[in-house]
Amino acid sequence: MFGMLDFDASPYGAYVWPAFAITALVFAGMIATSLAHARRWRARTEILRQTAEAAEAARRPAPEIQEAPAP
Amino acid sequence: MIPAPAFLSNPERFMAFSRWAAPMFGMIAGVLALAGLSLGFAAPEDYQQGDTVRIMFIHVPAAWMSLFVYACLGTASFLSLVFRHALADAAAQAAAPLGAAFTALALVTGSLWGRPMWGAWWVWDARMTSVLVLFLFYVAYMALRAALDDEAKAARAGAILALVGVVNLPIVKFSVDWWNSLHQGASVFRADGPTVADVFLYPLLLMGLAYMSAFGSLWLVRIRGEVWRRRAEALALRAARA
Repeated sequence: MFGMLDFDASPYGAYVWPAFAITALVFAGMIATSLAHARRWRARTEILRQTAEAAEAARRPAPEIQEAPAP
Repeated sequence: MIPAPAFLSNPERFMAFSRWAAPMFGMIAGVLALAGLSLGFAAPEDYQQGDTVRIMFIHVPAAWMSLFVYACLGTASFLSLVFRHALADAAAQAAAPLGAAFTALALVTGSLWGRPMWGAWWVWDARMTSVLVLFLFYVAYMALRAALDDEAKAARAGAILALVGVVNLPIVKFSVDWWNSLHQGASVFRADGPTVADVFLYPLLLMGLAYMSAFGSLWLVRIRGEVWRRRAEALALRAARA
């Protein structure tokens, strides 16, 4: 049904290849920005969560040390 | 009450689902794009369009996605507005930049096809003008969200704007039927079946599925980012109050 791949776009190469290049760039941009956005906020959430847990632990009163009962 | 999908109603379940679904859709998109491009570059030149027919394999799916993503944005906005669901709002917010990118791609690749075939980079044709209006709706939605500091107000205003823009979807779709247009009419999704030759139809459909899978993957990734952003802001607010 299909022959070999045909990459010769002449005489329309000046239109065909920029269309593919722009598409590749836009997809690369969408992938990069989506991953960067998710990773940035995931890392920020983790830092804030750890800070909140540390602050909570600092606020908690230290457990009283009970003397061991006399034998 | 309209039952929302289970994963939309529970952020924890959504995060568990999207953790494996996002990379899976991404891999499916890669495989489908490879197959679609291989078939596309193996197809013969069109007797009228010559090699510019290969632009169709990236232009037409982008145009499909511009409408589909806006339909997703509209649906998520409706759920956000009616049910005040934070995850639906995050889904709407996450869809907008992707939809704008697909619409921009449809406009630019269409222009690169139009110059050699019609002799013009751009004409104020009903189809092209309505797609430009669609792009402006995406941009306006993102600008409105960015302009308002109050998250709840931004969500509400954005949802209303997005729902107004839904009116444009049938205008884009049927513009070629309602008005005299330089742009060709529907040739794939027709009541009497596609009018495109199989050698062009199969790569076109594969590329359409690849774009759809890529959007699915990126949408999930962006919604996850939005969920984390909102969690981070909630944690920062709690820390500031403490």
